[in-house]
Amino acid sequence: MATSLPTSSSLDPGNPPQPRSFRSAWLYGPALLWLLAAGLPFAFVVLSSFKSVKEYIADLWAMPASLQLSNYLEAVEGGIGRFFINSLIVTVSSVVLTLVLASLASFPLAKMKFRLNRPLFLLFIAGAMIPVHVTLIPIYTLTNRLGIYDTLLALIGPYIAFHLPLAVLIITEFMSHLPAELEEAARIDGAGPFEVFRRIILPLSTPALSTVAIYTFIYAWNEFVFALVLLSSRSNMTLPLGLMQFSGEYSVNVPGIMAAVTLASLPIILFYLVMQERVVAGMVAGAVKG
Amino acid sequence: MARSDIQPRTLDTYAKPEPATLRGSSGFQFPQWLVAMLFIAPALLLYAIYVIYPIFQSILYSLRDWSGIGAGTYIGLDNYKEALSDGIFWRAVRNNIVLVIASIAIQLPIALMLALLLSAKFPGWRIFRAVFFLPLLLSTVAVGLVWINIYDPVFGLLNGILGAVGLENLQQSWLGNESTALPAIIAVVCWQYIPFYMILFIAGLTTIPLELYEAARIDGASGWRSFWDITLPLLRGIIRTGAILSLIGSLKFFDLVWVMTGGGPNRSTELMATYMYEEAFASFRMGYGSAVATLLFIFAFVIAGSTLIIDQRRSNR
Amino acid sequence: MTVDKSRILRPSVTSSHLSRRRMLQGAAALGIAAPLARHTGIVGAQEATPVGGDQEGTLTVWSLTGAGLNEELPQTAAARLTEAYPNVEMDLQALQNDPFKTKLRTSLGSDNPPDVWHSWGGGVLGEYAKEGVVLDLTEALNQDGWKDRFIPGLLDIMKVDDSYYGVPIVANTVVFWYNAELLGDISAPATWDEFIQLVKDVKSDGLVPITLANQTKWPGAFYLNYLVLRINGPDFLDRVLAGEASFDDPGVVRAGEMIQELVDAGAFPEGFNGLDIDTGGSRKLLYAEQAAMELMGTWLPGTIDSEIDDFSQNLSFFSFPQVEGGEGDPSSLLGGVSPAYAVSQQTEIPEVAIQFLREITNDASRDLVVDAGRLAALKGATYDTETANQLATALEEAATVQLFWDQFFPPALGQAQLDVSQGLLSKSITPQEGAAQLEEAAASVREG
Repeated sequence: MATSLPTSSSLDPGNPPQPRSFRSAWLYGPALLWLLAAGLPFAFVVLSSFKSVKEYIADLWAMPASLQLSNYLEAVEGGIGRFFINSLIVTVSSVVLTLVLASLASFPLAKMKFRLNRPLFLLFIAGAMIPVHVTLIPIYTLTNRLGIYDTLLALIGPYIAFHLPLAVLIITEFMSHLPAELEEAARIDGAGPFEVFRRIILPLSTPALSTVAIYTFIYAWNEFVFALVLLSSRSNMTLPLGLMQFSGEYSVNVPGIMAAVTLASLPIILFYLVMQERVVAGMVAGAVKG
Repeated sequence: MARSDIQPRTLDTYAKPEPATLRGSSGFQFPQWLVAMLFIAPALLLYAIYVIYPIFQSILYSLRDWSGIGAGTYIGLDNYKEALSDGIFWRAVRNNIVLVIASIAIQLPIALMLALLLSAKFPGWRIFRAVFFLPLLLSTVAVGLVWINIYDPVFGLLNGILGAVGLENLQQSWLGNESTALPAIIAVVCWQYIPFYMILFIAGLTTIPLELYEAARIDGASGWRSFWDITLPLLRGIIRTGAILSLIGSLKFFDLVWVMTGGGPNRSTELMATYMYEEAFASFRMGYGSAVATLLFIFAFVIAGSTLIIDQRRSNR
Repeated sequence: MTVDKSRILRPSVTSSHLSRRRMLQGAAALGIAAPLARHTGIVGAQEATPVGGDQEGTLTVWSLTGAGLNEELPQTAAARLTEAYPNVEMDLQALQNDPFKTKLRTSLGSDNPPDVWHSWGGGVLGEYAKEGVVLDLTEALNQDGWKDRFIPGLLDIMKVDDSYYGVPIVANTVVFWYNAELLGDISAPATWDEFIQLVKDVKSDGLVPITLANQTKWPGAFYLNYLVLRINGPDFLDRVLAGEASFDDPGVVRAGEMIQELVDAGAFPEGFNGLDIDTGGSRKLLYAEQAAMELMGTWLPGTIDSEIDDFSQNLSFFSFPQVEGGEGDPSSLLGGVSPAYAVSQQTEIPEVAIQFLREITNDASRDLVVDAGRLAALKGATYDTETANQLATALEEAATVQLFWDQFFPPALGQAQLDVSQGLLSKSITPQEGAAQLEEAAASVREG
């Protein structure tokens, strides 16, 4: 498979991206295999969402007899629209703020020598190792004291803070491999550290930032436990909480859940596709500047 | 490592990849630490409030016999002694270790392979890229529901397929047997998280300058050679990042196991985090659960921290 | 009477409605309000308390999810309550089982619980009472004959020491359900031996005798709970908790042996410990007519109706068989209450919270329960199906109703017995080990 690597020259900033013929047709083998493995369960989710509970129970794997939209209607009537907007607000805020805070913090961790560098880096990584459930009571208490219980703001803090370790780890790693010549050149031109960060380092880090943005988006969009304990009123709930309405005490409305999940997954797919393009585009842009 | 990538101007430096210098050699003129802290302060503040303070709190809880209500009583390290002499705790630790090893050994290579495949940009790769990513975006509830059905002993897809291709003797109740439950769960974990690392590696691959491969090809190096000599070394930092994320993620893994098996049958899929949750929230032993969480934290920190330091030292040499 | 704010704030209320309420308020003074109010189904207004409409605040109620009863009961009760307390805002939340527990524990741990929450009574409620976080309802229950509305044995599930900390609405009991279409005219096995014989007969017909989805452990724990009730009699658990008896007892060992006898007879489906009950893991085998019976709660027919048409009418039931030589009365049942509700000690509007409980246990609520095909924990229900009538009679005539162990015991022991049950069913522990593990868990509860 590595033979094909040299042809991946669309990444080459010198040459504009150009499709090459795919000579090693055998690469399709593993690609198709994973296509099936990744796609079929998702297809199951989507197909199940068009079934009634009875149809679903009667035969799991059968195609839906007709494309019933009742589950989607139920999801919409259950207030999924409101949940959707709440999720969007929380997720977008979390993504933007995570990127800002993490890239600011990663810059000195990657590029500056100071005594606390390594301890601070480890401190940031340490946060990834705490299981979320033990933090619930302290964070719940704190949120109440801050007076933001049952507001969307209550979620943004924990979402950013709990994704900072991952973001700092990835962005620092990425920044530390950026060539030093660029910043030195800028420094000789009289640029201060913030200038260097904003004009040189940040644009070059686009692939890492886009990657972190994807992760943070998925995390914040699907996060359940904090939303469960920090929100109370229905008008503030986010999408994952909405899934609860499809569960009874002794049974679960699987097609209903599948419909809500299908609806909820569309924004993530869109966001992912846009951001993945940025990974490549960012590389090219950075290179041109350099 | 991949130092002055990207710029065509410095192409000649690639002929001989320099040893990595992780920290940029440049230094700013005025007190570095002050500048550095100004950059770090906003993140650190939020982090201190929402992560460091709760960690500190849960350590305090772990020293108490506490149901989760009221004050409880201070009992020193008794919770830790109990956990460390508890067979279920060690069983959970063992399962966690299996999960860590399997995750790193399975997820990272497959993810790297998929990232390389996509970088070949074969016809239709955009569609492949979108579908490859799907497992990661589904919420855990949905993933659990799908795979519970796939594994169902009577109505499940997996046994159905095995039956159809004449492998009836391999059919079994995947989540009901103590010997197959953990592997079955691990397969789903890998399925869900391979795209995670794939995305990471796609970003990593963009940093490798194409000229290196061109040069290698002119020198007559085979595809495998350039994979071993160029791709792998230059991705080293990203792979290490992926391994650490996988390690940490596997050590505190919770949701999917909770949804699919609840840690059973008979603790065969119990993990430290599921055990902690049961003790704290089902058995009302918040103090003991916090002790388990603290132990998990210590394990993860020691392993991940030392991996990070050792590997960085080595690559700095 | 102070000014009736409801009149000012809610002009839409008809005058006849108001006058009826006024009449009730007058009647309250004479002490006849409660029966009258129940009769008219508008227990909205003040019964024993002089002031109602001017209470202000938000009443937060956390229930379990469930499209039918679980959510309908609090919703209708809240609607009625709002009429009497127009200035009280209702914040109703329906939560799934695990999320419910997580959220409740977190809020209790942070000293900020909801005003009213779903409870299963028993040991967990006992823990809350011990910690002083739930309101003692005894006094309120003794007013206006509220207490007499409940079937006594079921109200006692909410009793800790001599005080009541909650009120039940729906009663559940566990019986063997079977597909009468499939099994034909069987005579209900009265004894364990007959039962084992039935299992073997069904097995030899190529069917799974008893379906079971035991991933969550509580469905399989019914067997241990029932067998110990049959063998060791009704007071055994209390004596164990008091330290007068031990789980490490020949009867408990025998219960374990009988469970494994059932497993050896091939009573259960393959891989039952991995099957998920919520998504129909056990029921799908019933529907496919691959399995004949299920030991399950009285909610089963309702659940089945939501999943498949024209099936629940095939169901018949028989009680858990008697064990020869056991001390338990064969009429005793294993059961519980859900939903039931408790009130926070910290609520700022206890009067409103208690009124909510009165609403959710009134005749209108009872009728909802009956209409849903479930058993009411409230007296005076008339059931319109033969099955429901039989079950209600069985519940009424039961010598004792033993609460499910996971709800009866303090939480740590309740969880431990689930693990022991699963261990016995999968034969990963011996009956002796099971008894010893139970005793070990009981001992640490006694110490604590």
